[in-house]
Amino acid sequence: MKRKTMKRFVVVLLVISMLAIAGCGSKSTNTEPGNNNVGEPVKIEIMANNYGTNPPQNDFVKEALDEALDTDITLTLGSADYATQLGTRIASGDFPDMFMLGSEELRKYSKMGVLLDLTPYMDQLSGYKEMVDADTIKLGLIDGKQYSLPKPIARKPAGILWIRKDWLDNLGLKVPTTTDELLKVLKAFTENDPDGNKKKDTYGFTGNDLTAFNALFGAYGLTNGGAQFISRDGKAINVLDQPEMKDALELIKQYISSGVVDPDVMSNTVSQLFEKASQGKAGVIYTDWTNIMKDDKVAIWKNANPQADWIALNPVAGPTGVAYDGHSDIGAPSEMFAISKNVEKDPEKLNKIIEMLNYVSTGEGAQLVQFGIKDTHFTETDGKITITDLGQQETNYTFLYQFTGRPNLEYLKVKFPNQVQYIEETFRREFIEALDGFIVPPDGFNKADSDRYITEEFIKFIYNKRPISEYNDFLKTLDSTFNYKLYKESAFEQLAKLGYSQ
Amino acid sequence: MVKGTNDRFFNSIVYVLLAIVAVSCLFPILYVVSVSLTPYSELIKNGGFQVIPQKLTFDAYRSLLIERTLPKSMGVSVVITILGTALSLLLTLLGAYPLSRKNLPGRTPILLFIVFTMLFSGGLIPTYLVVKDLGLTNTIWAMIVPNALATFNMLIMKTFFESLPEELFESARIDGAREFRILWKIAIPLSIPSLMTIGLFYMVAQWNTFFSAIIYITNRELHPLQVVVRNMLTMSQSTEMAAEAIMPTMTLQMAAVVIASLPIILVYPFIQKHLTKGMMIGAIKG
Repeated sequence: MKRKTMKRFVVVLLVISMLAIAGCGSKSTNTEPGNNNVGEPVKIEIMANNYGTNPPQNDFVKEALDEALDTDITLTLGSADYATQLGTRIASGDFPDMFMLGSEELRKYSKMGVLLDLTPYMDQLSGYKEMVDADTIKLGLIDGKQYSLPKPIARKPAGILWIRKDWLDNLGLKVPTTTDELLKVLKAFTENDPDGNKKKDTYGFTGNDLTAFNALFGAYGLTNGGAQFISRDGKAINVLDQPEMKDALELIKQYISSGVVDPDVMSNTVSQLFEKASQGKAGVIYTDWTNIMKDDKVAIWKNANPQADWIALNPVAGPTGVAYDGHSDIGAPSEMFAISKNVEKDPEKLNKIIEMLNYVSTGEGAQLVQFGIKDTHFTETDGKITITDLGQQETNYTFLYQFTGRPNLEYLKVKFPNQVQYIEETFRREFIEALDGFIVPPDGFNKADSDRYITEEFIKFIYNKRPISEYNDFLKTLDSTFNYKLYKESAFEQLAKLGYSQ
Repeated sequence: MVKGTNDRFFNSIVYVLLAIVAVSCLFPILYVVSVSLTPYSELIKNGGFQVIPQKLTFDAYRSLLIERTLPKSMGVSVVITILGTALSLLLTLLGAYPLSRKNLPGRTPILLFIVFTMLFSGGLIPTYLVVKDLGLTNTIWAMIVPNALATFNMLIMKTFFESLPEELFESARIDGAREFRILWKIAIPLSIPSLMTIGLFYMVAQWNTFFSAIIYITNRELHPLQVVVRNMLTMSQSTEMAAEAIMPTMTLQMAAVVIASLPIILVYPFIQKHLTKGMMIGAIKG
């Protein structure tokens, strides 16, 4: 009897140790970086935010890149938790070879000595320099050293106003051109049953969070408080200090108190915004063309209501005739990649990374990461690229490999042939130039806290939870409690050096 | 049973309250299931709210189970749930039983040592370093080993073992049984309900493995179900860099939620009878 128990234990122990061995075994397949034997493909690990899109099992871009460059490229991807994932890797010294990072992380990690100074290698990065203009490349400098490689700035804001043309026609209204006309249209959309179903089930306007009102702030030449420094006639100004800010908040408050704005506007997600628009719950929305005019989106709202007809609305003018859809930070590259300092010890790998960055920037390499495989996913006749049906289906993840960005306008026009008019429309629009990206917050100022406070108070003002007459008190609290004064002084000083005088 | 008007009145109130609780528990599930079965375009037409599906489609399930990475991640989840639960139970037993024996030398210091971990932990980065230097990153073990033992569950188990009458163990010892036999033949059979309960806790925790997966696992092939499902649910930002990314429709998202939660829902009824027993045991000491 005793023996039997012992036997059982031995078996259990054996099973456990076997499993442990199996675990160790699978570990060895994932070799440490840096030990590449001659003749073997160079392993490169690249960490990036994928916004939720993963490459398919059969990743033809990786295969083609590996073949062309004799590499073994691994993408380590994260989306909502990307910052945590990257932070853990960096803090524990387990650096990916190349990784995507934001301006704040760039400053932090370059101070920590984690990033490779690319200044000596810039001459070799000829392809990259062809893709990205010199001004944008400068945005990757910290103390004069090239610690990161920014992508070309994507045209922002992509968000513009869209309106239901069929609703306007049903009610016999004209396309609104000023903020007052817009409010009248929104009131009609809310109260006069624009969809003709005899039910009061529509709102004039919806969007998601404070960005929904970008165009209304824009009518006063201001931003929604997300970006606080803008360039006006070549001079730097702080939007919070402008007297029109109170008027802009007053106007939005008037919109909200007339009941024409979707009550969920602050909590909507981008997809909820789209769903509300498709369901005919709102007649004017503020969103990107990608969220309303892509083929799959159009199919959905057309199917829900064949009469629906969304058109792009020009930005509405404020009392002084100013009209903008929103702002774009000309100091912040949309994305940038940095290379880990560790790679320096492995010149072969570093050379491969440089070769890769040049490859994806020009010629066939650039075509591969933009459009896929030639004659399978796209065809080229007389320099004009046409995406094939297979290309439409299979190349929606290749942007993950656009490490140096892309010529955005041409790219989008090729990729979305049915949406060219909306893409051009968006790119044509003027926008407010925000300068926040240039500014390094001084020590003793917490930008995240102050930004949150500004947003919270703005929401209180427009929802009439705090009278706008207290706006100056809000500024005082910002200066004293959040040390905003220090930030502002430092910001104007820094901007002056860049040629934006106060 | 007394059946006065008062009693009936009281009962009916109880039933109404229970019915409200039941409906409020079931309604969200019903909603999720019916959205997952309704074609997306139909959903939009009906204002995005659908309690009883008018048109049925299994397209969402078909595309999730055939085209996507879901079956693979489901396999990963099943493996880590089974292995993880087995390992956790084994460790819990082997930890709790000796600690429940009052004649164990150094029992109090060991206990203090263990309770200490409930209040203080090494933090994320040191834990990551340990896991990495053990060579566990990018293996399924990274999702199993670091959380294999829940101190709290082990203490429950220990308390339970302590509540068993000492005489049982004494008589077993007189009959010639050693510690392992006592554990296997006496302690475990008496504690099946508690083991089931704790096993269920472990199982649910393993099935919901998410954080350790996103931190320790960079190989997408090894991502468990919850990571993939969450990825689908949070994929709603439309940045222009990712302009061509196709967002999963609500139908697809809800189908993924159903697939992710169904296995655990199915397990509950089988364990429930033990569960109620397990909760009671240890509540009264006699």
